[in-house]
Amino acid sequence: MTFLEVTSFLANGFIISLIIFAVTLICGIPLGLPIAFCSMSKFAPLRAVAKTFVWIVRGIPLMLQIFIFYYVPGLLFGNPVFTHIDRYIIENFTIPNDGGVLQLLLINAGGLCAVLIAFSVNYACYFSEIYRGGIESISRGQYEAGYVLGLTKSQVFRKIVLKQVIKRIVPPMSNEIITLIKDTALANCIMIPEIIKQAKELAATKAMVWPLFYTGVFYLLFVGLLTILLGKLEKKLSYFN
Amino acid sequence: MKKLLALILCLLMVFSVAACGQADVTSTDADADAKKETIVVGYTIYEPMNYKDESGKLVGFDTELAEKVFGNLGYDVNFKEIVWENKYTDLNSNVIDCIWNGFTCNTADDDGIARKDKVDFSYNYMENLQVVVAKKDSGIKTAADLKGKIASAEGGSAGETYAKTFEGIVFKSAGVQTDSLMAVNAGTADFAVLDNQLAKSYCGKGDYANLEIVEGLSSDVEYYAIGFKKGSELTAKVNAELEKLAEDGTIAALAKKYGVETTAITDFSDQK
Repeated sequence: MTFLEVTSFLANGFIISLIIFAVTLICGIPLGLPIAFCSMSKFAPLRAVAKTFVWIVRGIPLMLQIFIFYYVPGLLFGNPVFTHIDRYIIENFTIPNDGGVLQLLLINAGGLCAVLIAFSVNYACYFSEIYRGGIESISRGQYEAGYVLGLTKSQVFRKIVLKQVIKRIVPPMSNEIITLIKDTALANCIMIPEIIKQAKELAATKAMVWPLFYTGVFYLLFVGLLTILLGKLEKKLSYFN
Repeated sequence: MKKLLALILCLLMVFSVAACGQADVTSTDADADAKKETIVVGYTIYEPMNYKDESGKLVGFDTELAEKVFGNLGYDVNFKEIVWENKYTDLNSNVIDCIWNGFTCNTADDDGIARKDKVDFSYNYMENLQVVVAKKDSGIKTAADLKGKIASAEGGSAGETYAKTFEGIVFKSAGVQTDSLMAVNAGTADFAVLDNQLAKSYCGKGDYANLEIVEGLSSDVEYYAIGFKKGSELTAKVNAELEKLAEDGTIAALAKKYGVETTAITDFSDQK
């Protein structure tokens, strides 16, 4: 295999990594909001449920959570949900046999779903704590000033609090987002063909070891891009300074 | 108002959890019939049994034999790559229906429990040995040379069991067999213990040019069989089909194609 062929083989895997990354953000960022509100609720039982949930999800390794979502439906309920997804796809779609991204996606759809659920729930909990920290960091005076000006409770939240929260949570969120792209490598614990798994496959099938280390370049370039974009976002949000 | 909202959210959470549970139960019954349409075969990359050719297509002796057997029985086959250490979890959680991947049947796992007590096996269809692989300049020639050396083998494999029979070694587990070759090549292990079939395919190839099989160090003969979940009705069906394919020469032809004709078993009459 030439250098270019290896690059394109690994790039297929990195697209799977990016899919995990994107879906986790798309699901996790909004999902964190209700969790944050519940954990700040004045209604004690709801607060307790939310806090316990966050404690469990943050307290268990993400790899274990992937195993839980992947295996427990079959082990406890005799119903391997994610294998049913695989079976459904095999029976209803023609799967290309070219080693391309579409093939990788279709033959691993079930496992990928388990990974996406585990990642989304896990990251939503981390995000919810960042949101909570952001909201609670806004001083009482900001609310009082709003009420004095005759704004309603929801107006105060939307027009005064939220705008300050968003700019405050960007740096910790950036941190989590950068961690996320590297966490996607955990998906290979159930053989999802993300980039590290692809590189290990080259070692297994072609006896090529160097691609494993070459994968680092992909992560580095993407994290570089993220750093620039998130930095720009931070600048854009530098109002109220 | 806010408390009401909180209460509704709370109820919603409870109901959604309950709904999930219910969906699970009902679909189990419905799927009992439909599920057998596709057989999911668990494998790891293992040349010449299951591996990918130049075009990326999954081929190999086990791959083609599984396609023939299940095809003739009227099933679709889906090959699912697994982590070898998780094979029993995969099987027991119905993530896969069988393990067809050069699965040594007449050995015990690390816990001392024989594999045949954990899964149902088909007929033995191939002979195998566990061999020791080391770098050409390692100086490893006999079992005595292994003392104090670091061994690498696939976690939960027959190789691990054999490696641990050597005295004074330090054992390191690898995720799949080919990872243990990588370990020896990188120097994180001094020798690897793995299936003879696989070792023959890899040693001297690509980045593994410097590796060789140590002559005279190998386990007793062991056998490959297909592993099914305990009590599976597939075992008998697959055995019957294997007999047919042995009689009409299909197995012998496949063995020749993948260069395993000296070890493949083409007569199952003494195993009935």
